[in-house]
Amino acid sequence: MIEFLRDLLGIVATVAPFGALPVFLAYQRRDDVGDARLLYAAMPIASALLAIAALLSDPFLDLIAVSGSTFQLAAAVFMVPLAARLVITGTSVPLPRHLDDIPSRAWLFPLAFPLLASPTSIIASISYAARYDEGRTIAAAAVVLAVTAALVWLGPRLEARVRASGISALGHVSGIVLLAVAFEHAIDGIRSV
Amino acid sequence: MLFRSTILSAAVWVVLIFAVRGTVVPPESCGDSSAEALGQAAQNAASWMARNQLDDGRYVYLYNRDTDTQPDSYNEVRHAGVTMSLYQAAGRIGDPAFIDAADDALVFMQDNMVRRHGWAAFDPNGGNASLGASALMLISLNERRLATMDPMYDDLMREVARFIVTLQREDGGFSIAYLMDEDRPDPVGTSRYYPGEATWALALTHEALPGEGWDEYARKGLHYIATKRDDYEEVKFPPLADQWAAYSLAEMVEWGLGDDEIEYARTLVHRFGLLVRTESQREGSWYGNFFRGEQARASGVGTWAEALASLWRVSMHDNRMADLREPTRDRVVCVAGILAARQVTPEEAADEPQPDLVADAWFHEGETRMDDQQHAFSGIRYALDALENNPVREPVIGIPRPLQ
Repeated sequence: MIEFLRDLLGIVATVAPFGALPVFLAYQRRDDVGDARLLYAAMPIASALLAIAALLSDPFLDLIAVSGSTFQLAAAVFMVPLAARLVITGTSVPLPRHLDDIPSRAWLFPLAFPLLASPTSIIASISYAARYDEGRTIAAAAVVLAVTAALVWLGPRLEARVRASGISALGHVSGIVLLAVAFEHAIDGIRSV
Repeated sequence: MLFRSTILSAAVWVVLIFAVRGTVVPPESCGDSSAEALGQAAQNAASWMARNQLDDGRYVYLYNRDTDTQPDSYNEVRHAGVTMSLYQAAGRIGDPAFIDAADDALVFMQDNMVRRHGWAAFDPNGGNASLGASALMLISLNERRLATMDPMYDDLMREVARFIVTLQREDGGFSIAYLMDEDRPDPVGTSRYYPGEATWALALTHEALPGEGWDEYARKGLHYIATKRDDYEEVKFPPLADQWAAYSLAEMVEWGLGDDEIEYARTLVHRFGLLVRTESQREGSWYGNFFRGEQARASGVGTWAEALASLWRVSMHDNRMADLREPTRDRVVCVAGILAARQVTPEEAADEPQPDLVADAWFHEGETRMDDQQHAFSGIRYALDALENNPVREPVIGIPRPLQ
């Protein structure tokens, strides 16, 4: 159970739902984005991408000739840029400012990838699958993306209650949590056999 | 705008991935870890030790292949260590030539003993008799007994064991030496590694001569190592990478280890595992040397293999270590493969001025030292046990020796 919770924390920290929420809210507000419900397609797609990453963990590590424990150090390093961005800006990626910034299939790109299934969360998925096991990581990713969908659904009400600054603050906190997760992941990698 | 930021972001990721690949996660290589390659490497290393013995029973201590010179120095602790490995080779490989060489080295030790108060110590330099040399001599005698089933040195073993016990403190630790002039153990000096050597020596002696009480001292020594030694010695990043302690744990696991000793064993596995992983990433290039340091010398890498093989045995006997069995086995086989890959082959040594000194040896900055072959041999030989899933370190069939 403890291992699943650690796995869950690692995936939730790298998906960073509170860092992604302002982007979803911005897209939902645009009339030209089409059916806003389509944006929810991003969650199963991101979940599937993370599941594929977890399933390919062993062959991928074999391919690059690196053990899972050593790869944990790399995963921790890859967490740092996202963590820094979250701490500084409170969002995972820059918010769209212009109409041109909105692609016709926003639910796929950039929302599913690289916002939710970012390089950071994909690498984390590979690393946690090697650290624990694929099944646990896939389950953790599914839980995190389901929670993210619920958060996006509740997003407008949450924004009305705590305002954009409140959501941004939660994004900043997400960055600090991700830094802590990166530190723990690196230390465990160093201590592992 | 989105396209531009995406391209920029992708470019940053590509640079980051290459940078991390080059610095944090370069490929790990374990050389050739097949049973055949490891068996051959161990055999060759033992042959080097036997082949390069001097007439007086000592061994070639140092050889520099770049200058074709043998610096004039010697070390009695390492003499006893190489002899230990030769007896191990005799028992496990079954070649009488190794026991003949080790017996010649044993004669050198017997000729350089000091005796007092019913104990005997190996002390070729005169002055203060160090704990380490005698502890490794006692281990050698035990390995000889295991290899030959010959009890002719049992009384000598008791004498040397009494010397070790004389140096043991109340807390289980050991003085570094006996001050012959003052006729007492050194009240101040200690050693980081001697306690592990002494503890393993006493544990082996209990196994050879049960019922004489040597186990009590061994238990005290192991408890000290597991719970106090690193603090006492002010080890900056504990646990100290101590393969002798690992041998002791493996020897005593069947007696039953305490929780603190198992916890200590677990920390040792992690420490040695990290050392092996790091070494497996050192490919020897200038670039690799810059980021990850130079390849360690074989005497160091060999101790990691010895330690992990011992800790693997602990994991096979004690279920509190069961979760570490597989990763420990993987690491010890990996490090043995690394060693095998770095050993100089006879073909590579053919054009050297002294091929017999170069072939089957390990060199670091142009130099090989006798304990490079000692630790590499023991490490590879016991890694082979892990590869073959054999948790018994002792030779199954000894080489009978005539009673003299």
